[in-house]
Amino acid sequence: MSGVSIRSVNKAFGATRVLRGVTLDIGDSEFMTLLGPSGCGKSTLLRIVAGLEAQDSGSIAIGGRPVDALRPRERDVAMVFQSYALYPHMTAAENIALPLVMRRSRVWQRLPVLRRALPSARRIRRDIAGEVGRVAAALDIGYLLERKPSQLSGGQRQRVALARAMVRQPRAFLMDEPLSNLDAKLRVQARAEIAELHRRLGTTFIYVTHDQAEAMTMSDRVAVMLDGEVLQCAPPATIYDDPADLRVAEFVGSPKINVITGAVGSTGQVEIAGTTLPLTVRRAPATALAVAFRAEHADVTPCTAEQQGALVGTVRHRENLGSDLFVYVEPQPASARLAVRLAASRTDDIRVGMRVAIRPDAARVLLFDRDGGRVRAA
Amino acid sequence: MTAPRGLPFAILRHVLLGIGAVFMLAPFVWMLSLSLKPADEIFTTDLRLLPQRWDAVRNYSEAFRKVPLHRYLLNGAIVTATIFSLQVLVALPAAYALAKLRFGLAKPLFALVLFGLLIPGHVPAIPHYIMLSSAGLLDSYAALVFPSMISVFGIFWIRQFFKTVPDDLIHAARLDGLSEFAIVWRIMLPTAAPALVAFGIVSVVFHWNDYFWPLLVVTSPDMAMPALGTVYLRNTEAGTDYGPLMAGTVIITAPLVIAFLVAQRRFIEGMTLTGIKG
Amino acid sequence: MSTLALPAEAAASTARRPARRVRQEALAAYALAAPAAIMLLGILLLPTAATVLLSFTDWQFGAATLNWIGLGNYEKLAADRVFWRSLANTLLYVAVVVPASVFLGLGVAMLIEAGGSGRTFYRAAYFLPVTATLIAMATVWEIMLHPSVGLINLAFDAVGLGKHNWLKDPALALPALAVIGIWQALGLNMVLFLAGLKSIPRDLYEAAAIDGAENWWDRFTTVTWPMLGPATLFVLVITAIRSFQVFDTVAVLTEGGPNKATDVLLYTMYQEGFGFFRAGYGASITVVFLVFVLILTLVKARVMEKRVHYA
Repeated sequence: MSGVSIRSVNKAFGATRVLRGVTLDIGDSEFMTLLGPSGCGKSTLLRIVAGLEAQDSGSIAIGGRPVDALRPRERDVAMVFQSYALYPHMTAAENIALPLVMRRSRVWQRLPVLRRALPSARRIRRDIAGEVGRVAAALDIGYLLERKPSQLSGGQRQRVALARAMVRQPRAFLMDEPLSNLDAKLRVQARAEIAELHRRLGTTFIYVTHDQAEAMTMSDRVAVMLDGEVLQCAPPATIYDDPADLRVAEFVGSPKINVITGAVGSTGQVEIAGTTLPLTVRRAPATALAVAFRAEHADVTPCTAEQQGALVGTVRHRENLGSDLFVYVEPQPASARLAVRLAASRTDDIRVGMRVAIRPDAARVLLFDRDGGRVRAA
Repeated sequence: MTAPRGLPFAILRHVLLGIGAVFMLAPFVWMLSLSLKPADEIFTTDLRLLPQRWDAVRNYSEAFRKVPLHRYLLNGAIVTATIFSLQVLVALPAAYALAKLRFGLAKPLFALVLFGLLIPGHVPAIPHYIMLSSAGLLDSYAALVFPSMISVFGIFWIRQFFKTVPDDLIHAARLDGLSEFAIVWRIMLPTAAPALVAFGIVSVVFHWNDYFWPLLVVTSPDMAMPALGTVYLRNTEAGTDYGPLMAGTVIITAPLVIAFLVAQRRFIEGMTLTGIKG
Repeated sequence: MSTLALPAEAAASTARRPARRVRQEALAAYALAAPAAIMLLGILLLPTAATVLLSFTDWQFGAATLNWIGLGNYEKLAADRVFWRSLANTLLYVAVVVPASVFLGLGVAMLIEAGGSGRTFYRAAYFLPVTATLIAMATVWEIMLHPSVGLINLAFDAVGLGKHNWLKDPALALPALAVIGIWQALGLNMVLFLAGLKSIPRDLYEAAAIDGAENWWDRFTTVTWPMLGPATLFVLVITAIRSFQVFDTVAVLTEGGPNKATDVLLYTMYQEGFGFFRAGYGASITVVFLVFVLILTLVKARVMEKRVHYA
């Protein structure tokens, strides 16, 4: 049992409140991603779990045991850092071995001469070398072991950092943006490798990232954080399709979800820009609503006449990505541009400057109230 | 500077720099030259670089006979090495605490360090002398080392370096099971190697060449540091036999000059730090 | 997925635990900083304070008693012609060595940087005196300045300027020491300027050339000097601090003579304090010395705040 339980954790740096009563339960062997923009407190939360920062209040338990009074090394968690934090003066092998050396040997067994002279120290060193070799083989970095970090590429350093975390079989892996220093191509490959590593090890992973693609592709659950709070914690598909909060909907997905202001009509129907959507909500008439829909949940047609449930505007920009066509429309009355994804085959239909009608798929439209809370259609 | 300039400028540049270089190097060349010459060739008005009759063996052996030059070199090595080791031993943990740890007195302590940077080493000399004299320690290695056991500049400089070490490296070490003490010696010490080399050059060059403090506390001929030893050698020479004196100065200056020529870049980097030290 | 709730009682009792970990960090920090803090106080700051206190007493080395005489030593200093002479000499020495070594250093650095060949050699040649033991080189200078067979007199004689007894002539002794001071300080200033010149982006020269600055003087006034100006101020101040501490050459070559012509502050302090054992009086000279160095150092700190530094 090595789930991680975070209870009402608060943290402030000076006057800045970085975490506001964060509560989160991460199951045993779950892959949990903390997703949010920079400055949302996700890295601080990870450091509090590791014991590198002390929370102002609240508590952390690992495997059911409170760890608040324990030092980082006593918590039995391993961490992979964004900068990898490899010791620059040690070889890859020494880097990987260090956590084992520190755990298994006594101070005198690490002293310069005794380290080689004492039979016990030599036995420990031999055992450790064996384990380092096994982990290195598992990550395909056996041939790099004698190199110093400065002689390794970014991807190789990242693997050495992973190996250093794996070697002591911790109860939980904490990863702080471990892929953000890799180039785009390597990042996709490493994403798959980490997900596979998680399946193989069956250990709890807490993974911090600002990259939604990483969060969506690797996680069992994603906790979306903003301004020191967890807005929603759910499986990736739920986060995307069924966001609990407008800020979650806006943060997840690319291009950004389209949002237009609407209002509740006299019979509870949703009205936008003078048209009515085939949706009703249980809210008082004239309540303001944010009506949101994703780029792929709408259709665009050249505008000939006023149509029911449609938004009218002018095409300002097109992006043909080969597989898809993105169309950016400036609605009337003017507000933020709306993005719609179409099949690339429709390139010839939709041109810049054309007047078009956008028709959101009413079944996929998301409604939010003024505070950003979700409003469900009746 | 971009515009290519013609041959006349290149010649002018070498002429000007060459004249200057002659002036800068003349004492060294002259010192070497005199250390090879017999007395009668030194006391002559014709300029010659190389002696007509080589007298190097006599000059150098005479220098060692007059004063214990080897002792001065040994004293220099022992004292500068001890001073540097103690300075690192004291400064490294403090610099780490000041750069990376949170504690209530961090700011006042750093303010004291900055204040200490303002004080030239000559200022506390009289109280130091009184302290050592009342402890009966004058004329000993302890007296030579004592005022320099702590280098405020060392603390400041290593702290500035540690500020540039990413926190993640220390976090990783804590998770890997290192105590704060182990972090200082196993992680920060090797990481600080370049900064320590620069600081070591400053420290060793300064104390090898220091004259003021040894002059105050050393009384017996055997305890002199290299600079003071040169003066002892000079004082044995009441007359005009400059050959052995120059041989002695060659011996005293050689270690640092050779070290400089071997590791020019590091020396220049290191010595520019004295700009901060003042 | 299993969620692990903490027992309520455990949660309550751990609420204050993180504070203990903050204390652990502070405790480690105090343990690591303690030796340095104790030595900083015991070896540097308290003895410095003791020097200041001593300057208000009439204590002599070995004396059993000491009297608080307030500003007595300073009144004596104000009336002491030797002290004024030594202060004036020190300031004169600084006033000669600083501009000469700074601007020669700048000139050498620019000449070295202006061409490709011989850079390493020239840099080493000009820097060599910085590391060489000054006391040992001073004895070489003494022989070079020898009245009859010294290299310098031979050279002066050869061009018809006659021979001089440099170190024994009251008018020439301080300038001679200043030349040695310049010789020793020039190399450090040169490398500081080399670093400064290297940090000037090449594009600036290209932009200046496009804008019509074609000869070296235009380049110097439009790019080099404005970019190097603050650095020059910094080099001036640190050279001043260092030359204010002149002692070695005076102590070995002239012993303040002839007739006090080369007496400088530190040498007067050394003589009063350790030659005549007037510790209190020596301390008051030290305090005057400290005040001057502090003023210069504070100027340096102001200059460094403007982000002009090389390390």
